[in-house]
Amino acid sequence: MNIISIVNGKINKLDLNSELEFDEKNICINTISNSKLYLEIIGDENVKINILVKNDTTLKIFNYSKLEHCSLDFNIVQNENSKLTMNCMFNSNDSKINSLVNLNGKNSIIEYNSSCLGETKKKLRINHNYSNTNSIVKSYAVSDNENINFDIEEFVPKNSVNCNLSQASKIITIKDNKCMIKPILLIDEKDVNASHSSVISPISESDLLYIRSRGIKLEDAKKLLINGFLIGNLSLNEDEKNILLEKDIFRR
Amino acid sequence: MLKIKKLNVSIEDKEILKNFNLNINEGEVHVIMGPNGVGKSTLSKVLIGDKNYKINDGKISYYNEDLLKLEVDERSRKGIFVAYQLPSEIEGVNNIDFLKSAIKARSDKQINLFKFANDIEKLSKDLKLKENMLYRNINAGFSGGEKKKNEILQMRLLKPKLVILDEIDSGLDVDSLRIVCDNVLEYIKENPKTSLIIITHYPRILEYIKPDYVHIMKNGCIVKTGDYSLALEIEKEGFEKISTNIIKENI
Repeated sequence: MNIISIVNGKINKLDLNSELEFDEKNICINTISNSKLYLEIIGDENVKINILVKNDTTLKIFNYSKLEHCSLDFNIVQNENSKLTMNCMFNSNDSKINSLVNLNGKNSIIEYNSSCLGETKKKLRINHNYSNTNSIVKSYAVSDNENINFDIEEFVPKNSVNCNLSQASKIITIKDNKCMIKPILLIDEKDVNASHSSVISPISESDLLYIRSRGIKLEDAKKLLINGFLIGNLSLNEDEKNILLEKDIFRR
Repeated sequence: MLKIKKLNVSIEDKEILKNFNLNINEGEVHVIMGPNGVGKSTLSKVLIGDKNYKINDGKISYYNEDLLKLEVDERSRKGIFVAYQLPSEIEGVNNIDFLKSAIKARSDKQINLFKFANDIEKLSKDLKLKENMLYRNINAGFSGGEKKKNEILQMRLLKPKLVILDEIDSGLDVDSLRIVCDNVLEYIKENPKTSLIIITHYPRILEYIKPDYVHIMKNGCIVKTGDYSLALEIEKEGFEKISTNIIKENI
């Protein structure tokens, strides 16, 4: 797997093969052929990442970000017949995560799964600039004592026909705090399939009871449920899951 | 081992259990039968410590300890196990991680992964559970029968002293019922001091697991106690007729 690690705004580790082109100065990642990338971003400096998924290529990104009072920007462009899968775990302390996705080619697909922990403002905008483009967005978060805002906007202009849009957002609140989900679908074309769901709720008491009824202490039961909720939202293999478990995202 | 005295329980101001009494000794099998809504499942929820149920009055002692003072997880670690009628489906948490956590919660020592894997493999075979189910999310997408078998797998793995089977027979086909009952019997054979409370509508399960006592519940309390023949009588006559006879006997 290709690896890019950025710590405090600077490249810390780079291990790339010929599947990807990388411009270190502007942090631009371009696909040459189908590839997988582990992207780690840690620190308190603002980071902007540009991604181009070229015609007929796929890119699967597994991202772990630990952010402190900073912003992380993804600027993504996808060409014809491209597929991008983003599986992102954001461990954030008062940070902003902005993603702009331009589906600039027919049959381009984005699957954007993200899980957030901590004070976060997350904005995602997907422009379906061509026909037959698909987006599947799953945004999950757990709020302990922090405010979480999701602003998820998708735009389908006139003549972008047969596009499919699916959004699912869920926030679990542990304490009584303010969280907001804004699912916005701006659609100027009739031939579109679009759906969204948004849920903000406390941790399920019945799930907690079930777990605890097998002897697991309250704090461990919560941890098991939250880990499951956040990591289970991401399409990861066992090795990738273990990377997240080793990070111990709850020790913040 | 378990003494329930004059227990009164309500949920959302509706009284469910009224002056409920029950004594259970080690190694006994008790069956609680009754029509829908008489409070049978409430009993299992109260015994495990579901906070939605308010204890208005009464006592429950478990091995001479006040059970009502214990948290849910403490009750489990002290040996109480409920096989739920409708177990939770939990997104993102796989069975194996859940079971490991449950075993780990019972001991300060590191979990012996080799023994754990062997135990799980054997129990899965005994219960005819597909191996991949252990790596799936807890009960997610399981059939009714698979959920019940998963409950029994947990029971055998966690080795409880008091097992409450809450309508374990509902939704099971004949073969699955036999497998579940064989596993319960195997567990009791290995752990003869274990006591069982079987909550059920039908005596079908009792063809496999023979009870020491059969209790009939009505209006939140036990109105009649007998042996296996009482369950057969219910099968023949129905709850309504038995209840009417009880009222006549009391008059």
